[in-house]
Amino acid sequence: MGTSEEYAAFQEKVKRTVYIDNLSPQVTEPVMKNALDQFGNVNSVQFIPNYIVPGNIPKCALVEMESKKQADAVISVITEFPFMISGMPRPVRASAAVENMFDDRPRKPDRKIHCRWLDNDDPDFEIAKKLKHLSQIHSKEADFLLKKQLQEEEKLAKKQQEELKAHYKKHELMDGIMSDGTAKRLARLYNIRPPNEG
Amino acid sequence: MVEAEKLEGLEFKWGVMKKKGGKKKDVQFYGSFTYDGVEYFLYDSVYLFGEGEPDPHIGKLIKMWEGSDKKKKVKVLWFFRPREISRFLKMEEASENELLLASGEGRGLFNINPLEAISGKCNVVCVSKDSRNPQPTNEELQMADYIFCRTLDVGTCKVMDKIDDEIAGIDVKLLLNKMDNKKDAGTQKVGSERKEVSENAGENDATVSTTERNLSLNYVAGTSNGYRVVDSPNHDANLDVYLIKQNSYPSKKTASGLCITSANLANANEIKENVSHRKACLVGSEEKVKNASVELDDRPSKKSKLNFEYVDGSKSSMGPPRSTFDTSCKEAALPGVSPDDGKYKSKHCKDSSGTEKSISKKLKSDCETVVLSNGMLLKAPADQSHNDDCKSDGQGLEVVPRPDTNRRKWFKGLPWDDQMRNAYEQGTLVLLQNLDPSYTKEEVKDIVWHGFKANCEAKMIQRRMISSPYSGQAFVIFKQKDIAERVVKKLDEGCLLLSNGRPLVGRLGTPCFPEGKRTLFYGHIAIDKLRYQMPREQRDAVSTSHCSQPNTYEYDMAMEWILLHERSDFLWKKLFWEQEQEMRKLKKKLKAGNKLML
Repeated sequence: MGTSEEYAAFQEKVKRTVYIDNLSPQVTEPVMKNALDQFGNVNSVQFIPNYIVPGNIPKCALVEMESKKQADAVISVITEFPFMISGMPRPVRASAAVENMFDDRPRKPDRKIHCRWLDNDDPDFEIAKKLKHLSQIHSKEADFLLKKQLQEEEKLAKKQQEELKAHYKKHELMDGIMSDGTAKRLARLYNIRPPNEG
Repeated sequence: MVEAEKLEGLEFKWGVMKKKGGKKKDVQFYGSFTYDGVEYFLYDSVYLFGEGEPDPHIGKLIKMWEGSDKKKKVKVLWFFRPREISRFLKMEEASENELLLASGEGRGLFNINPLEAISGKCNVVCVSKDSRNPQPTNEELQMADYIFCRTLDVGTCKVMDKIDDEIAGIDVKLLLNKMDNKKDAGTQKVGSERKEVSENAGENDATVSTTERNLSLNYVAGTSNGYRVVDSPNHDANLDVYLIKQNSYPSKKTASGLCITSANLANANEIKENVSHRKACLVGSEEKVKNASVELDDRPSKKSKLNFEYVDGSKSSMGPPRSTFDTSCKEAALPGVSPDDGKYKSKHCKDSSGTEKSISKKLKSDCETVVLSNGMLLKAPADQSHNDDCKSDGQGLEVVPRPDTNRRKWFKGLPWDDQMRNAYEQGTLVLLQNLDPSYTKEEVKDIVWHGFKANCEAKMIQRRMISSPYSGQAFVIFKQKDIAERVVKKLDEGCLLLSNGRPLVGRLGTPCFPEGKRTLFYGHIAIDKLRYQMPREQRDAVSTSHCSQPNTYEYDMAMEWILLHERSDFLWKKLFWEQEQEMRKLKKKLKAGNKLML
């Protein structure tokens, strides 16, 4: 049958793979390859499609490297330093891939799945109903947290945009007084050493 | 001159060049091409993929070309499946693998399709006794996916036994078997095959009782005779023994029930009995095979073919007249199409989604994996019958692989995005929740098969940072809207408890499509003024990547992001963990919970 070998091969692949999150939607496969081939050889890049979460969540991808060692290197660099792909200043995040991130994965060999319909008069029936209800509450909770998270992100991005503008203005002003001689005049006025001369 | 190129990611290469054509002589015709490692020639039969279709269409390539716009096209002369034209042809007059070639003039004769619609080669052998047709050999017949000997005139909608000299402007000799295949005479063939079959049956004497063997011989003879059923009422008495096992056979009821009313059968009662006896016998013998674990020849498959025929035949003679068929349906069902699409599709689905077919398919595939699947065969029908009336006997079902897993391996299908979009529009898309996140899509299909005895397409939602590590979700596409609705309703009212102790939750899915509106992404900012001042090369080079250095604004801002990421990470983990604790607490109350969990 070869399913267990197939599965073992798949597990190896998982080990070689890095999960990268918080990517901009503009990021494409070549961009990913370019960004990561400094750490080793990129075997493949697969973006995880978002079918389920309404709203703008960042893109994420599975990047298969040539070896586990390379994958580890990618993860350690990206965790240690803020790593930018296709834009600043929001860094990407990397972690080791896990099996259920993959779309085409083989069955676990020898796994048995059971399922059964519960009778209406089964004592478990009510509990199962409650379980279903609970899981619905849970998915609502998750939706809410996601909404909050996106709001936070938006807030931070806006704040940073403002900051950046302010910084830019500041630097522009500084450049301005340097280039039009105001700085020198002021230095003379206050009797201190003009900039760029010391 | 002709270079290999990629077509939807698949290798493609033109072969033999033919004349140029078209108004401006800018259309290049060809005689062959290679696509995805398979070489196709003119007049080959191929499968064509129809959007959302359970079964592919089959047709003959009668022209292939590349236009000035570089689009590759094929002209396809259609084959009809008997059930597509059940209005003009009684099902029982056709065998399972018979096709009818389109002929005459009118809509539905041929179509021009993008070459990419081809999904594989199909081996269709012409068994017509027509003198123009080189008779196929035994091997060829055995290798054949389908046979044909009749045509359907698309103009008059009449089934004809003779084949016209010319169809769609093509000399009919080109459409029949290829000359070099000619080896054997037809009559000889039928005789020898029968002999072979009876010998085979003889070898199995040891394990199979005599009556059964006789019967199977009869069956086999029937099948090799163009798959007609031979009645053998005299076996009835001997077969009573096997009747006990009838109950475990779900399709029995339907099939025989339908048979009673089928008008063209003279002695309905007798035949009904026949059917049930045979069915029972099938089950019986199947069991024997399992117990003795003896390798049988292909007998089971022949039987199941027969079974299929019975069911199908009776179904069509019973079912309401299908008035929706029109010859344009082929046209409509292929990618890039017109509104009748839906109409045809739903009719088509009805045909194939019934239990009858899935069961017979199962039987058929059974013989490929002999011993193992025989055990399963007995199990699966039992599961079904008890699901049928929505009751449980308090025992967990083991979800064994669906019987038809190895069906249509060559079948590539549309990309999932498109499939899902179609399914969403047609209301056949269901989102399943509370699955074990480590299930694969095949396992989800198995669960659906066992829980609802419905076939579906499935896709697990791939895990990402913000998905629960304890509970998985999957999108499944059913073949028909009412199946999807039935599944959702059943899941809402009943409780299907899975191995992980969670009951399956389902609702009609509303997917988000990634490429819908331009997605926003927070966190990448730039100084607008600078953007326009930047030299062009720099602006285009945004695809760069770097580690940021600690003495920059960028670094400070990046730290803010990392902080935010960490915070939300923590929240997600906490949320999922707490949710799981809640679940566990409740699950502990389940009496059968422990028994189910592995």
